Amino acid sequence: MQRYLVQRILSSIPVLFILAVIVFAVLRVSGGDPAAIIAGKDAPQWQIEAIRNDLGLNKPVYYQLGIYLADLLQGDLGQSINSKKPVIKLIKERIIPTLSIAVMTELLTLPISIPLGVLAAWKANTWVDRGILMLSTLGFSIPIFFLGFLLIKAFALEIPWFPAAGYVKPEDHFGNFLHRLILPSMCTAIIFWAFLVRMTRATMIEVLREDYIRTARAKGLAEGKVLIIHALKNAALPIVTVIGWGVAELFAGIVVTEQVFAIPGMGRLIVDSIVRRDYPVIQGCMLTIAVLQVIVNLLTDMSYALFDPRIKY
Amino acid sequence: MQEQTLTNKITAHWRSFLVKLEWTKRRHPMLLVGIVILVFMALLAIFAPLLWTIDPTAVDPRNRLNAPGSQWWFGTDFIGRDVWSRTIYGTRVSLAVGFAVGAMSAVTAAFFGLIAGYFNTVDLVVMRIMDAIMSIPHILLAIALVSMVGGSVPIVIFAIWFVTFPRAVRVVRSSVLSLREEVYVEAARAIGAKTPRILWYHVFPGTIAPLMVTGTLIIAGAILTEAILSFLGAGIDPETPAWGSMMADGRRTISMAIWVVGIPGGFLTLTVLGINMIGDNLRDILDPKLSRSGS
Repeated sequence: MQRYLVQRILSSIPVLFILAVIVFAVLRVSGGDPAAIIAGKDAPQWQIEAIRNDLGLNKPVYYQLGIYLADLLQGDLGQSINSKKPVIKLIKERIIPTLSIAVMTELLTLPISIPLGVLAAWKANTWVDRGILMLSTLGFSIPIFFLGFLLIKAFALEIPWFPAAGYVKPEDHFGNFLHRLILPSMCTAIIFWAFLVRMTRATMIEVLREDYIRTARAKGLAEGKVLIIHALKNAALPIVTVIGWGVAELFAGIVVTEQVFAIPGMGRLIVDSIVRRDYPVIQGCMLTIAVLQVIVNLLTDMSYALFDPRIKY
Repeated sequence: MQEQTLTNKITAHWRSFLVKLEWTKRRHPMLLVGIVILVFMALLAIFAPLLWTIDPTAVDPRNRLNAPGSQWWFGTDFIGRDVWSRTIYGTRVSLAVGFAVGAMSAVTAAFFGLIAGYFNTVDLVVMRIMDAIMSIPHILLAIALVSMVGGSVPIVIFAIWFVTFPRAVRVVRSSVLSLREEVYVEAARAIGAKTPRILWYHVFPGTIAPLMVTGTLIIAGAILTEAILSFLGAGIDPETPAWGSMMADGRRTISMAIWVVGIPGGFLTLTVLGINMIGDNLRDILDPKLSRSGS
């Protein structure tokens, strides 16, 4: 187990390294001068030059990349060009709302999509199955921000059950914090929901064809037990894999949701930083997301052992 | 005599087409629904100037936020622009971006997927790069690309292509991995066929079906991504009517004028739904194995 963990962590280093280089390259090569933006519209050339000098932007690109990677190895993500705060601190401030939406999204997705997927597989090729599949196609097709608007219009403006936008810190008022998370999380959940229903259905259909299911039915086991204990447990691996794979996708969704519901999370931090060409912050955020993805992938693989006792690390 | 056979041929073709149509209608009705939606949208895009539209950028401050009615079929927005005209012209941007990204992704994915799947050494390098691109949320990467270079339709197409094609590479590569072990590929190798020939004549045809399915789904995804970019203000310049930016404009007046958001949103959802329906059914028809494993 320990050996496996070490191996996995080591093998994720090259991916993170390539990622750091790609993010760096995309941001630097594609142009846009942060110095000119900081200096303001009518700033004289010498002032812009001074700022460039200050930020190290006038050094050759490969030199900047070297410095960046060296700092990174020491756990230093740099300093925001705009607010002069350390990037780590900015991310720490903003990551809580984003992670809360992510967790809430999972909580809203799993209890709905897995039972529906099981139901669709059980009733495969009937109208129940087709209806569920159709709903999931619709879930894939509706843009998150459009759904957000519809939810705001319906459940905040017409029937005022929820506040239309905003965020409350959990330490200030935990009830309000949860209350305000529900609409944004419902919004992000839709794609995930659509995806997970399909995956659950597909793997369950495959498992339900197995011999041991026929045996279980033949010995007179209740259908519920067959579905849950014999089938779902064996279908768990692919389902868990999908949940893990969705992290990058989930973050993409959260970026949009935070914009629609005015939540001060990492998504808005990134979008704002991109507009201001705040390179260190963008780089830091992208790397943070990638590291989260790596951690989740690792947890996913670990959880395999939980569902399938044959798997040992 | 000559004419006679020609007519016969045409009738024969027509008959077999009708038989196929009948089969599709019975087995995959949703495929037809999807095609009808897509053709409808394409016609709207092509004939936009003829469809009783006015200049989609024309501002009319006296007629702000008019409800849909006989003069403004879909109402007007917060500076008095005609929502009908803007929606119809918006079809052009969405479809152009969707199909361009789909075509570019298919071509590049076929190329990289073939060589990565066939040559182990290339595989190691190419797939690590693809993994790295895929681990960045695609919308963020696209926003970064667009906002650095500036928003025009080609840039948006390039950005969306860059963030989506790795998925298609993965699909092609995985089918190449199994195809290259097939007996007929081995036979071709044994009789001394050159590698490019093997790849083109023996391996590539096997990847077309999964590539078509992925391509269709990529078109749907690209249309959604373009709308999100426009919505976030990081898409094509706001002067060009696009569904995403229309909805961004409409968000502030959502409590009094739901149509400014609802109509482009409805068109967007319908278009993407149509394409997804085509993709789903193509998968069932072309690749029964894929549909069973569901990925």
